[in-house]
Amino acid sequence: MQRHIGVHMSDDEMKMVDAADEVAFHSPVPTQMVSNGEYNPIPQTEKQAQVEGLIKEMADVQAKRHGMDRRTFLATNAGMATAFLAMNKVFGPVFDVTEAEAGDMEMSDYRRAQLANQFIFDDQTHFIRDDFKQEGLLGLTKWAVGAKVNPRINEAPMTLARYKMDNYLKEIFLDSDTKMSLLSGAPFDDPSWWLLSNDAIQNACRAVNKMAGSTRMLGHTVITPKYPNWMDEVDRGIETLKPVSWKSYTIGDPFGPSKYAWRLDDEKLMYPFYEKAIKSGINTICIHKGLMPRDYEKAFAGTWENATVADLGKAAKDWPGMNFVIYHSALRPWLADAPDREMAEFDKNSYIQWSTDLARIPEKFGVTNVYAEVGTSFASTAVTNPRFAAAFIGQLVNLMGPERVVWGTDSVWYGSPQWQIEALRRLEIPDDMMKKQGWKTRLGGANSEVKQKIFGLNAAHLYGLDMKVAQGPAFTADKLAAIKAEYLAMGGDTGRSNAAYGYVAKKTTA
Amino acid sequence: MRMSGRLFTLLAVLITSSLSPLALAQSKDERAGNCDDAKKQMDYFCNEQNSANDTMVAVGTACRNAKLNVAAACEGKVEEDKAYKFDK
Repeated sequence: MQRHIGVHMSDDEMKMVDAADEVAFHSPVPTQMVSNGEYNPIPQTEKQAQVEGLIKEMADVQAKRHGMDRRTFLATNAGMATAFLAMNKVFGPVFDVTEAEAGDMEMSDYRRAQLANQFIFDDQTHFIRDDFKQEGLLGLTKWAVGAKVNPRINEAPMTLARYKMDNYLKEIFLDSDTKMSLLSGAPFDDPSWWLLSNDAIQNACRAVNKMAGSTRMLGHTVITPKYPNWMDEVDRGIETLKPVSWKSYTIGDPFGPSKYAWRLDDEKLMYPFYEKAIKSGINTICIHKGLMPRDYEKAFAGTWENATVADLGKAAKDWPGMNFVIYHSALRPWLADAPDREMAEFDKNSYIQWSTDLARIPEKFGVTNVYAEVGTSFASTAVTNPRFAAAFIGQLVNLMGPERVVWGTDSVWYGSPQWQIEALRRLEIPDDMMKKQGWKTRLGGANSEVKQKIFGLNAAHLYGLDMKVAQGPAFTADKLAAIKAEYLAMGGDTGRSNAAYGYVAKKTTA
Repeated sequence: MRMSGRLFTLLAVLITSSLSPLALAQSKDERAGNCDDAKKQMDYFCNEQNSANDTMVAVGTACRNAKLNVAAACEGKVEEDKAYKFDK
C-alpha cells in the first residue's frame, strides 16, 4: 500500500492497516476509528462492528427496493435514518427514528423539509484569520474524520482553508439548518495560534449581516485576564467593538498548560471587570471549561483545576447581573476519550466528570444566571456512546432546567454541524434512565418545546433577540436564504459520499 | 580607603542572600505550576506516543508551552508576557 505524505506510522505499523476508502464501510455514522496517519487506529469495537453489520444489512434491503446501490442509498435522508436505526439496535433506543422512515424516501425527505425552518442559534463557532499557519489545528478535523461524526467531513480538503471564512459560511449557513451563529476567538500562550482578532470578529459579523440584509452573525470580544493589557481591551470592547458577549478561558490556553490561568471568583482580578461589564450592558460571559485529557492531572499539572467549575458558584452568586455561559458544559473528557467508562461511572454514581458539578450549581448556590453550552461535548459523545450523550444532556436539562441549556457545535472544526443538529433532534432519554434518575423532563420530539429552547430560544433570550424576528420569516426571506435556495436547487445538498480517507486496522482472521 | 567592619558584614550578607536558594526560587515563574508540575506536563505533551489516545497531543502547541513552563519554573528562564494584540 502506498504511503502518503504526512504519514508517520512505521513500516511494521503500515503492515497492520488498510486504506480506509478502499476497505472501510462508507457509513453515515461512525462504525470504525479511522486514523489520519499520525497514529495507530483503534480497532473497531464489537458494538461498532454490530452497527456496521446492521447498516449494511438494512441498507442492502432498502437499496434493492429503491433500485439503487447501497452507497447511493446511504447518501439519502432515508440512509441517515437507517444509520440511526442501527445505532438504536446496538446501543439501545436513544434516537427517535422508525423503520418506516428508514424505508420511505418521501417520508424521510418530508421530515427534513418540515424542520428546515427551525430556529437554530449556534452559540459557539469559529473560523481562523487568513494568515493563520498552524496546521496542527487540523487535528480537530482529523479527529472528526476518525470518529466519523460528520458524514460530509471529507468534502473539503484537509487544509487550513476549511477553517476560513468562506468554508465557515458554506458549512454553517448552506449545509446546515443553522439560522444564526455567535462567532468567537481564542487566546493561546503562543501568539501565532491566536485565531481571530476582536476587530476581525466584529468586521466579519458586519460584512455577513450586511450581505444577508438581516442579523445572522453575532460576535464575541475575547478577554485575557492576567495578560498585561487585558483591561484595556475590555474598555475598547465596551467603547468601540460592542460585542454581544465576552469570551474567555480560565485555563488560559485551550490546548496546553498555560501561565495565564485564572479563576472566575478572583475578587481582585475579575470583580472590577464584572462591575464594568454590567454597567456597559454587555453582561454575558462565555467561559471555556472542561475538555481535558484522561491523564489531566499530569498533562495539566498545576492548572487543571481552572478547567473545572469550582470557581463558578461564588462568582455567579456575587454577580447576579452577569450571565455565565459555560462552554462544553465543563464536560471533562476531551473528544470522548473513553465514553463507555464515563457511562459506567454515571450508571453507578449519577456523576459525569465535571458537567454534573455544573448541573448542581444552580441549586447549590441558589443562582439562575448560569448556562450550559454543549459544543464539542455533544458531538463527541453522540457518536461514541449515544446513551452517554442522553445522560449528559438529560442531566443538564433536568437539574438546571431546559431554559439553561444552549446549543453550540464548535463549528467549523468538525465540518458542517447538520449531523449534530440531526442527532439532537432525534435524541431522547431512555425510559429506564428517566426512572432511575427520577427525572421529570423528557427531551421530546424534534421540534419539542425543550428542543426549541435548547436550539435557539434560550440564546435568543440571552442576547435580547426579537422572538418575532427569530421565529418569523426573516431567515427565509433574506439574501442568505436566497443564496441557500439557489445552492440547494443546484444540488448542493446531495451527493454525500460517506467516504473516509485515512487508515483502518486490518481485519484479523481468528 | 578601608571598608569598616560593619559595612563589610552588611555587604557580605546581601551578596550571600542574593545567591541563596530562596532568592533563586523568587526569580522562578510558577504560574503554570511548579517545577515538578511543569516536568509532568512536558513528559505528557512532548511524548508523541500519547497522540494515539489524545488529539490534544497531536495538535502540538502544548509541548511548546510545557517546555517554556519547565524553563520558567525550574530554571528561572522566564519569557516576557505578551500583550493580546494583533497586527492591523
